[in-house]
Amino acid sequence: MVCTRNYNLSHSFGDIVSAHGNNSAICISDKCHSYIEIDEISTKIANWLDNQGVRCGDVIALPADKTFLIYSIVVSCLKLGVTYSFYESSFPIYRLEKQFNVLDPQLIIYSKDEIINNFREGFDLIELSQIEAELNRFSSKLNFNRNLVTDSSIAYVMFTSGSTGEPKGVAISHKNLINFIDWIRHDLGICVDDRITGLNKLFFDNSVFDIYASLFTGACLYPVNDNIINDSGMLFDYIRGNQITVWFSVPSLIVYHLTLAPKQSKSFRVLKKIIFGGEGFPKNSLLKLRNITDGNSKLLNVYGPTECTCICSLYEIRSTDFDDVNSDKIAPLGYINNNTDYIIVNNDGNRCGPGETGELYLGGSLVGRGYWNNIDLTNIQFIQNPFHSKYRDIYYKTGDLVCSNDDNIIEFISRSDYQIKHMGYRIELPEIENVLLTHSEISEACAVYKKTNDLGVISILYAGKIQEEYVRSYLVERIPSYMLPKNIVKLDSLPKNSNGKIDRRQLYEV
Amino acid sequence: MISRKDIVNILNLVKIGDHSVNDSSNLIDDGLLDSFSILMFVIEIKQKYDVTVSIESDVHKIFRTADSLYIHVKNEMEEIRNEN
Repeated sequence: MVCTRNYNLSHSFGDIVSAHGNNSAICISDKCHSYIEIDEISTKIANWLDNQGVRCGDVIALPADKTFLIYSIVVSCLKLGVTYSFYESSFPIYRLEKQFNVLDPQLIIYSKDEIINNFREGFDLIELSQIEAELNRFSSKLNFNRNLVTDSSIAYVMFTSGSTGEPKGVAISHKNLINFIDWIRHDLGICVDDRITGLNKLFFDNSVFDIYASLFTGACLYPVNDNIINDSGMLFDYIRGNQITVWFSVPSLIVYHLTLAPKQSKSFRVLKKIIFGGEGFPKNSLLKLRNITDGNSKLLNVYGPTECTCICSLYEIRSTDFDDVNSDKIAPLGYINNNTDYIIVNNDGNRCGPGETGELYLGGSLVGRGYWNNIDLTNIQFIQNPFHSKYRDIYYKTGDLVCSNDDNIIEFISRSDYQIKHMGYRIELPEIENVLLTHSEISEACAVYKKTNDLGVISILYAGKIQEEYVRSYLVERIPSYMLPKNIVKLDSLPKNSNGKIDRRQLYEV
Repeated sequence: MISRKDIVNILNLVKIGDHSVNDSSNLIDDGLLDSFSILMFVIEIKQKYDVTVSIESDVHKIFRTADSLYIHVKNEMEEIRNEN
């Protein structure tokens, strides 16, 4: 048998460079960089990393800065078979420390001194500007054999909230991403003519789409920084001026602009595709968006857990979805991708029939490799297909309770646990509780999430000797700002149910 | 009519972080407000005063301080009243 080459993301990127080398790959701050340019720079960086002793199979931590150099380092990692993982420099040191301890990187690249001074001991650190300064000493021809990188090599580790209080790192392979890119091209129809927004923060799972839907299809990525994202005037000037064709964000960002800037929001109609995912889209706001776009733009709802390479299902919004606009129902998750298998399992462990609610298990080529440095949790969440034992057939238990109709359209019902989606961010409420319980003066704590007017609010109820303002300060130093509660309520003790556990239902009423 | 104090009270309700909003706080640059808080602010104003405040552009300028925000909201309210 002739062994064909092992096709990895380095080959995939090489194919795009060969076919569309002179096309713009990334445009940042009015400067566009071609595929040939990013190919050359990323090869230099890969040679530089190799010179630093970073090898295939190693892992590096990268600041989540939307700069040309950072995107180039991502491509260089893929060429070298090095795993990359983004971190947000503005996160509390407490949180970053936990993330780095799980990741155990060979190298941390940093751009902000004040943050990284806390990690001088125990980690190898290199400043981004140092790489930039040394790059010209390195060749733009590969000094190593890229065929050594296998398709099962881990491309990235994406961190997400963990219920124990420790962030979880999800490991996604080259093979997962090659299948994801294939779906983006064929099912989503992204092509070389597309100009794609880079609205999502790089430490957030949705950014996986931004990077791989652009740099690996021949389209062009337009990263957008926070000062533009939150200003409707600036953002829509940017969208119109750059003739952006594809938008991808959490629904919250669309709702933000629809609410704050009704006039500017009319520019949503210049987009060919408006893709949203990461949380449910409130129906009233979705109807507003549909009325603005009025058939000019495709409105696409996507769904997928971080553990299954960003997106596993797609649903194109139809006019019939608004037959009952007052219903609390959000848009359906839609049809599961062709490259993904799924089972809906009820409480008794049996397959659900149409209309029956159960937990969604996802299998197939997008299922990631598990949790980085956490085999025990991987074995709990990534399991053998419960309906056969003929061969290895791994499914990810999503914790999402769903049901499907006769047309195989999947609808989200609720969560089976205390995970929430807040502004698209995935948060395990027990993570906040466990952080609070590390304080010696807090005896009990419970985090609850309540929605009013389509806006969800995290509240903390606790029992202990310290006052509310100290609880807030304690959390500010330990969890990212998007996880911070709006309300903090001190009680003498938290109500319990008949099993002696905290009665969350009663706390919602408090 | 909405007062400067009302605006500060609403800001303190929707802000993130552990610092209170005062007249001299730089709301966005000091990290007191994120996009979620801004959205909550607009919804709070709508609920409490039944006024839809639009912020079509210059978010950073309008949300620079409680004072600049107060002026914007007051102008918006006057504009709506004149239209009616």
